[in-house]
Amino acid sequence: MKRSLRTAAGALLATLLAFPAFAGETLKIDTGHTSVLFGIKHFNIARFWGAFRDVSGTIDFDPADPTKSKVNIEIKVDSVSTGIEKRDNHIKSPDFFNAKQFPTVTFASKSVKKTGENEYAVTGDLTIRGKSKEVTIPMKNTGNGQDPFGKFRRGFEGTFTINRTDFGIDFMQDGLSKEVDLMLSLEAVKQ
Amino acid sequence: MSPQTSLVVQIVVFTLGLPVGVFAGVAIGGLAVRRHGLDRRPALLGLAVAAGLLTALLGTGGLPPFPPVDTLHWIPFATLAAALLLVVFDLRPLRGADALSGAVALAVAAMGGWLVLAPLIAAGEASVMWSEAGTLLVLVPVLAFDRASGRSPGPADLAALTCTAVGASIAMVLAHSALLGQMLGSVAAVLGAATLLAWRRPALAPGHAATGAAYLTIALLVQYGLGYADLPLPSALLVLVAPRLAATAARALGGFRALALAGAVAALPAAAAAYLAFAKAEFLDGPADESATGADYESLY
Repeated sequence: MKRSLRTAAGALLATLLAFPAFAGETLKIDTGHTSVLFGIKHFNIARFWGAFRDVSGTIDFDPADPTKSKVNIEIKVDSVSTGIEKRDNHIKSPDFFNAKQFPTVTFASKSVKKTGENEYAVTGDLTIRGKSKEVTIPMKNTGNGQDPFGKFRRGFEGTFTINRTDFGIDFMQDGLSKEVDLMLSLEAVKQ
Repeated sequence: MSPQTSLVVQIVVFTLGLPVGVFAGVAIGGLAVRRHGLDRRPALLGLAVAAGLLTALLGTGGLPPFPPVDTLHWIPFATLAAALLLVVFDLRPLRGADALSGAVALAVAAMGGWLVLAPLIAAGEASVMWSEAGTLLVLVPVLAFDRASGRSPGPADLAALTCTAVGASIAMVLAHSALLGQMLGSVAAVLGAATLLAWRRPALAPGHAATGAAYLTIALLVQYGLGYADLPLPSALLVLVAPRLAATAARALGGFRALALAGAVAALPAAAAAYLAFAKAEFLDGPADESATGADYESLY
């Protein structure tokens, strides 16, 4: 009994030494003050924009060593909004996001590099409709500070472009562009 | 080519022309080989219909990866499996073929339905179980009982399936999936061509493999629409029973009258299915959200 306890304690110690505690900030995305917008070109004429309203996730941000930072974002497809309900229903259908079969869009970072003053390149797996592809999002720390309730908040913004056919969203390529612009504006609260 | 022209060309070529062309090509090519006797024509035509159905699915939905990520991509595999397994019974009269082909259809339909609806079955959605039960209740008697009674599929059966596919296609578009509507329209084009051929040349009617694979394809697309688009359960059930109702109604008749009656009887529940999808989509309640934006439905895309 004593021997097995010693073994377990040793294993725990070894694990703690191997993975030192994250020294930075753990922030939780504030859904109410976060925007994820997407823009797609219609008949190659003009871009129209839609948004996902339900965005959650965490950001482990280490300002001293950004390479130790991590970003995990989850977007509920059902929260898509383009201002016209019938179009939203179509976007949720199997023609595009297939929300009932693939209810979330996720991003899980794999590496973070500092690219300039308050600027970072966040590389990770973007998963849409069950298909994952590595993307790099240029992110900027747009601001930070305490809110009136004493909670510390940080803001990040990034814009990037994906090819929707990489994620199996192939429908209506003649009417809607393959390239989709995505704009993330994240506000996160320190935990 | 402008995007608008490209859209029309894509629909005409890939949705209608290519699947019908593949059906006709396989049928003509196969019949041109003189080795096939009269007894093998139903099997050959059955494979031609199956080739057309596969082209309809792949031409619209693209080549599926294996294993599929989206469960829609299991449907071509189910169509292919049904055609290849059932054509064996059209090729040679085996002892107990009626029960065997019924069992094969049961297995393929159950497996296909399970693969297509797996995420929803895991979530315990009751409506998908009803649709799966409806499919099995229609498909198995078509293959087992009809074969046992010595009845071969004719133009009336194909006309019923064509009208069902057209109705399902309209219902699916109204249920917010133009993709599934396009697929079912493409399936209807192949079945329409097979109906025309079987009507004008009764010796060229396909065997049970064609009707079995066609019904399974329609049923799985409908189940997919029920699960992942907004197709209402009553619409799905009406589409699923339509071909059987039509075949029963037209059984005592022959020639064009049987074909017309089967088409009409299948069209009624299919039209009702489309109406129910229309009603669910709230087209009848007026465009409340559109009045706020000033947009009409045609301007959405």
